[in-house]
Amino acid sequence: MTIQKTSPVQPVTLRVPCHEDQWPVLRKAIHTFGLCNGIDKKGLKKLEVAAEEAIVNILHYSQASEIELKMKNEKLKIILTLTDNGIAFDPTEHVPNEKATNERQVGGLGIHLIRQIVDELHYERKENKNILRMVKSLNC
Amino acid sequence: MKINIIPNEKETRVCLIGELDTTVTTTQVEDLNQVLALADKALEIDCEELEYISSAGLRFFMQLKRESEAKGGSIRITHLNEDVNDIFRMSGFHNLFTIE
Amino acid sequence: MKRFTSVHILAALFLLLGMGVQTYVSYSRARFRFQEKTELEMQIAQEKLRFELYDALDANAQLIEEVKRNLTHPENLYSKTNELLKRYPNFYSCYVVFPPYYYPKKGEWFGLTSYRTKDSIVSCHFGDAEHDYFEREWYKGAVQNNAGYWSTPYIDEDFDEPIYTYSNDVLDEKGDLICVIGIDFSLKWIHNMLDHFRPFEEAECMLYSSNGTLLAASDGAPKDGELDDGSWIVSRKTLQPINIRMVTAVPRSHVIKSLRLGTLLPLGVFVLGILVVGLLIRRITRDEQENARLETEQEVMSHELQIAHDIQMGILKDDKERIKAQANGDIELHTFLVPMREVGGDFFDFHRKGDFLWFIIGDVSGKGVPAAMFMSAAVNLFRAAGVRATSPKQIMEEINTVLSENNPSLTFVTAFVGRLCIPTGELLFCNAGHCAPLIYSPVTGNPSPLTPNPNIPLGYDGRYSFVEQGCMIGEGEKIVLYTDGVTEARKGRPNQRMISPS
Repeated sequence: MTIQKTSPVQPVTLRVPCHEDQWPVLRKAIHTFGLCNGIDKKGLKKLEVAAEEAIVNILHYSQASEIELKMKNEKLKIILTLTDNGIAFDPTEHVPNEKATNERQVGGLGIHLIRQIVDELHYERKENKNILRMVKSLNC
Repeated sequence: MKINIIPNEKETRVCLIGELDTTVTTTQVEDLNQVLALADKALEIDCEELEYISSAGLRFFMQLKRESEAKGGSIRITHLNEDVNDIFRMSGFHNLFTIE
Repeated sequence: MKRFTSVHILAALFLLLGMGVQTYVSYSRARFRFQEKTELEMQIAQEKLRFELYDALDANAQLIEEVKRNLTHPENLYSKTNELLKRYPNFYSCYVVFPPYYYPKKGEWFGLTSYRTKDSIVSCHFGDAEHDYFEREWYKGAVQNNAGYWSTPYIDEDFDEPIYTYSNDVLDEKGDLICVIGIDFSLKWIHNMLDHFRPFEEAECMLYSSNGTLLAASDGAPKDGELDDGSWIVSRKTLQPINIRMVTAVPRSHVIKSLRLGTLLPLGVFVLGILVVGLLIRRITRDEQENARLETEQEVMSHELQIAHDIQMGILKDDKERIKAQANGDIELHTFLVPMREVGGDFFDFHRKGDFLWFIIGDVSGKGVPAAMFMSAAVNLFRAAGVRATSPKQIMEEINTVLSENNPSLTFVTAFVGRLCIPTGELLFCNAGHCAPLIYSPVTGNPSPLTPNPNIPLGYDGRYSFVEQGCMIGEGEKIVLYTDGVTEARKGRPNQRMISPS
């Protein structure tokens, strides 16, 4: 990912209902934020893939009613934070999840892609919310 | 995503235009099923205008591959652009398909 | 002169005694090895069988969801059961039946079923006075049990097919019965499957249902009475969660046949040992009690027999202490891991066979019981394949074939299998989508990544031919294998192993 403009844009927060049809909305937001922050098209596309995988996982497993997406550009790093109010669900853990037995979408392909794309991946459970933070450096 | 199907004598060409993400795989089931129905034929999946793919799209490709193997068809993927190719590589899928 | 003769007699006695001891030791070791090998092979067969029948539980869960979703439009269930049969070729039929007058307009019996005919899948109504499903064992069993119910085998009247059913009751929030779901397996299919699953050629297999009925047996299988008459070595295992007992039997005569080769070599070593001992006796001849001397020498004999046998057979138990003891001389093996072999979805295993150190490290992504099962299957297959494999490519392909056979959810598994030839440092390896290991140079301390061909992830294409590669590991160099938990700041490196040939 390369940087073309040097003036960072303010952090952006979006809160939407946790539903499949909200993905295009979130994606548009990430795309716009990326363009404004001078992220090149290739890198931005990959970031969108990582975000899609993370959001789809939340949609399927957390049983949340709301998702919050926070984006900021801090010291040449793009940080995407996804917060949802669902059940405790850590996408980075491999622990067998009972709810997942019915869902044939279980695969792990998504989390693998996220790991390949982003530089850092952190999960935290705080105040009954799942917080997933993805960091991608702009220098490489 | 738009899908153009161009049948030919030897091979049927399927052109994927636009983006293959989770929205497409959940809302355009009929269109995707149209492609799956051709799994018994020799297919060229032309991805020249395919701009974006995520794991949902990869899953579709996998479904197509399985149907194709079960029904005796064949698949070759052509004109992958760099971004989509990267996703294929990252997931280890580039060795699963014949890519030109 | 007299002494000379008596030493000869003693030597002859030892020879006879020694042969007896040695034959017994060889036999019990061979038998133990057979049992060990059978156990490992059974594990593979188990995993395969479990996958096949596990689908019943999974399909059951899906059907329950569909029923609850379509309570107001139960007709939708015709297409749902139809889809289910399409998705699971090993199901013979599946059905949803409701208790009397659950839908008052539908009458006393209301059931929906899809079943397989020669060319197609038929979906239709099910249940009337002649087909009173309330009286069937699968219905009663499902209603009485809290968990699912596996029936005893029976013949389906309409189609003359031997059937084995998994059924489950579906309750609402108040605990009242909504319906009963059933999934049928054809016994003919199970019978065919059994032939595929023979651990090895001379073995015979039998499958029993949880209530002791014989479900299927391979062609040469012993009858019930014969099993425990002493002419068979038997291994038994109950497969959970489906509650089927799998019994494998190997004829004892086969174990004895394998003995012949096994006795010739150690016999040679043994004869040498005798000569050495004989010479020792001649040197130490003293006026001691004959009995006492006999006893001491017998002990020495069996101990040397043991060592000789081990060297010949290269038997190495899967025992960390023993491996470390073996490894101390020429390689150091370090593992940083919580005591279990498997942490979440990360797994690794290793074993040494003669001059070779075999190892595997891998990662199962995804959630749910399928993911957990894949992981245990991968480790078990590695161990079993390791008994007879010649190359990492072979092991990888075997694991891949089994995992691909039952992976509709596309669970993502990466792995790296390697074989290190300890005296030469030659490393043969095969990678399946896993992070490339690092080789640390002893001089600079800097790591350089190995660049293996990623091939494909495991479980996607059972017919894929993996590319194997090789390289040389020099003295003092370290190989570091890891899984991708490394990106998480708080975990550090949950799974890291270092092998350094010295």
